[in-house]
Amino acid sequence: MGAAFARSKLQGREKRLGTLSAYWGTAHSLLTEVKDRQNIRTFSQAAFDEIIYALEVLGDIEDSVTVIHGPSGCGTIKIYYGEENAAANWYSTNLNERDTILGGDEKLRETIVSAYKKHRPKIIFIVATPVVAINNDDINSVVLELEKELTVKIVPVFTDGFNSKTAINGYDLVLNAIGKYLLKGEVKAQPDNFLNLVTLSENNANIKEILLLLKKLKIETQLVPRFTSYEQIKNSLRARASVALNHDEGYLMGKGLAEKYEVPYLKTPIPIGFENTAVWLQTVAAAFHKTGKVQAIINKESADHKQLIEKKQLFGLKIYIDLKASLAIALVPLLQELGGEIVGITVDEIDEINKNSLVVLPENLPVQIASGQPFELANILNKIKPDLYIGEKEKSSWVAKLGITALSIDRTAIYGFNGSRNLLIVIGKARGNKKLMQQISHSGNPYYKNTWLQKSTNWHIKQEVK
Amino acid sequence: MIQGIEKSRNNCALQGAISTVMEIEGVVPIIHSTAGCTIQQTIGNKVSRCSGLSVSATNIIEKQVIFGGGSRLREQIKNTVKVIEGELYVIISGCTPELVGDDVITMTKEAREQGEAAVYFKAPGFKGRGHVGYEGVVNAIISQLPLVKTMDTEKQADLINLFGIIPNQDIHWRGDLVEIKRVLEGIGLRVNTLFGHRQGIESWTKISAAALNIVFSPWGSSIAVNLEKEYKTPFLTLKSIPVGAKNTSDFLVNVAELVGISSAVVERFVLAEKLREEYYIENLWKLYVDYDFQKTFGIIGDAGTVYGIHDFLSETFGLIPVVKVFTDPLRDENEILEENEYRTEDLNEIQKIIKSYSVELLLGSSLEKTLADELSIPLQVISFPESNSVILNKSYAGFRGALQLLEDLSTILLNSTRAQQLQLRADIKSLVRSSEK
Repeated sequence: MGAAFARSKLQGREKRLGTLSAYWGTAHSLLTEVKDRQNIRTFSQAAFDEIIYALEVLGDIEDSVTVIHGPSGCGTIKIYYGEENAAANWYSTNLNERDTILGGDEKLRETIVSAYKKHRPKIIFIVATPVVAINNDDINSVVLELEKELTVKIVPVFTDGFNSKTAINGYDLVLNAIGKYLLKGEVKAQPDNFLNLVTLSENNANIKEILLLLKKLKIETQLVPRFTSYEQIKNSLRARASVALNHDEGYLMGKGLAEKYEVPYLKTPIPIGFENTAVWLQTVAAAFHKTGKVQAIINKESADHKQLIEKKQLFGLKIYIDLKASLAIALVPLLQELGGEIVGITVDEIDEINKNSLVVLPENLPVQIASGQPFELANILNKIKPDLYIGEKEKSSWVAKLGITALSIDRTAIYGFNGSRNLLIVIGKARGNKKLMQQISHSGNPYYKNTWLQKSTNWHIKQEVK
Repeated sequence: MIQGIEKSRNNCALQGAISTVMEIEGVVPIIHSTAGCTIQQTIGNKVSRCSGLSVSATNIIEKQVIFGGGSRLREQIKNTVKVIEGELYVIISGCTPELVGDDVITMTKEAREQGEAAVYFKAPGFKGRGHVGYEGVVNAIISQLPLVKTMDTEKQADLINLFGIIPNQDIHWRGDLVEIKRVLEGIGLRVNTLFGHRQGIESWTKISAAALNIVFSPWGSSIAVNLEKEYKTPFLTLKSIPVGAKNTSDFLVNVAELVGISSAVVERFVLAEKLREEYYIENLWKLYVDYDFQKTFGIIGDAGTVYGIHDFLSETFGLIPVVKVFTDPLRDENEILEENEYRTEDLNEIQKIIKSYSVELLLGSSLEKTLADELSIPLQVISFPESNSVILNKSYAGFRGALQLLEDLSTILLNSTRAQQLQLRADIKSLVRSSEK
């Protein structure tokens, strides 16, 4: 796995964690048969990449500016993130054809200086792009030179855009850059009494839900790396403990802080569903010597939970789940408890660190690994024909066109003890929206050819030749 | 020398081409580039029936960067035609294949030789903005379409093609096309809008049959020139989309002359529209005086949007123009801007320019919000990006669009004046003796 906060360039996630991003088969065979191999698709559709994920996180670091080192299109998504309230300002070095031949170092330098002069940020992040990676532009010497001139931390994030097949690699690159460039100091003998809560992709409703629980326990918490300032990031090495909301995404931060600064990284399941949330909370509470208090909360929630699952409100419903891996896997037992039948799941990636969690799945459960790739999903859903699809916004709105009741949980709190209840509400609403869903699916599915929908789902998934 | 940009509002050639092609029904883009390029564009298209995730894309990885991505593209084309239903496949390549030197042309030709309707457009993002991508991909489709489809070359004296309104870059593009179509139909013409509702390859094969091409911005003039060469179609180039009765009437008179429609027909149509505009302005007049609508204004956006709105507000509605900032890229190296005209896409520079004038009203994009707040002046959004409103078929073009603009602008002016009055009340309170002391 390599040391956390690698000094040299971080390898792609595939090489570090054996990350798999293309697969179709049963949970059992994924768990037992697929080892040390990489799959590729011979047909693929546009997907998120590491640059987008990096830009997303960096936008939420409050006193920072993001400089996208590339042609202007590599930062187009920043307009969208800005609209969705991202805090950080952004610049593009605006590379043109001449720069792709003669190099863009000078532009990088000038852009950083003007960003610094106007906004006086504490941190300037440089996000690399394919053009600078291919041309091997020297980012490091610009960083070294300017850090001497300006009183600002300058942090390069080496996103190539083709380094890894999975977007989640962008989180790793950001966390590694934070660890390498922003965390400095000695191991503290007497840690401060607060918790680092590592959060990357969680929606605001989920974060709030967990923070409310921690507040009940009077555990002081700071978030990393989103919703933070430079000071808070630096402080993270003084925490009593770190915990990630989603280990798949945040492990590098937790592990790095543990290895380098001896901040214990608490091993927890993702806090979705009653059991997981209880374990998550107990683990955190134990680190802060609050076990008594946590038991009282759990006992109360346990009674509510029993009442809720007795009703089996989803009885007879065939459900397909399409979410980030740990979310999808955690939702399976939760929806089963409520009476639903899980007929298949799609996850974005499976790797060494989340693979073992697959054991909770029924052995014969169909599993697709894909980020995006609705063509494959159309094929799957055409065969499985679920009653309900639970996913993220882009794909859910599209799945509805296939005539399947579909909903997005992008803005719903499914973490914590209220997750089941909240989920039942959005499911109820979507199932009630029959007329509009009918109209949306009215035109049928003209986009994919029927011959494709009849073919075997894994037709375009091949083992990669090394 | 081109510098770095603060908060660029302009995307890149690849993204402009993708966003353009996605708005033609039955046309399937195949993107040869790294994975994120498409999503960076499509995720921001709030109102769209197309999902970026559905776009066929090679998502090239390290191996293809090192050894070339030509065979990956071949494989992707071959499989796209088997998976996705389409009447025309448009292969569009980005920065990385350009640097690596992938042979996109040969790959497209191969597919064509196998009977597939495929055309290509090389759109490395470092070669320009979305505007260039729009113009380039439209040119590419038109020039290669005869290789795969039968063009309708029998001239139809009443058929018009519209160019230069860039889908999604023009925030009102759908509504603009609808209104321009309506006014042209009003004088007895038929219109190929080429994008949007019910516009597919069939309308594109009729491009060659048109009697006239109209270009509504600088971004389309080469399309018209090429069509003149190829199909002897005359063209009319406008600086901007016409707004309001005066501009739109002049435009229709111009068109009528070029296609041989009698001026009586135009006059009849235009008169009714003109009277309606006058009727509504008269109705607004009381409010205009009460809330002092006659503001000095600065206007920011693509030239094709700016001129029309600028002329309508200053010549018809009495507002006082002070400064224009064009944010579309420079087209002609020798461009000479008039006094109080600027061209830049850098937010910092835009802010500096506006601050150097005395402006009471801003017309620009949502990125101007910070500046408007800082100057405590109202902002009317007219150009990309529009972040806070959802636009379906709204338009500020033509006769009806002008009325829509007056409605929106008056609302903003009304509310900002009220907010100022509220502030004055607070100021008054703070200046008098408090009863609690």
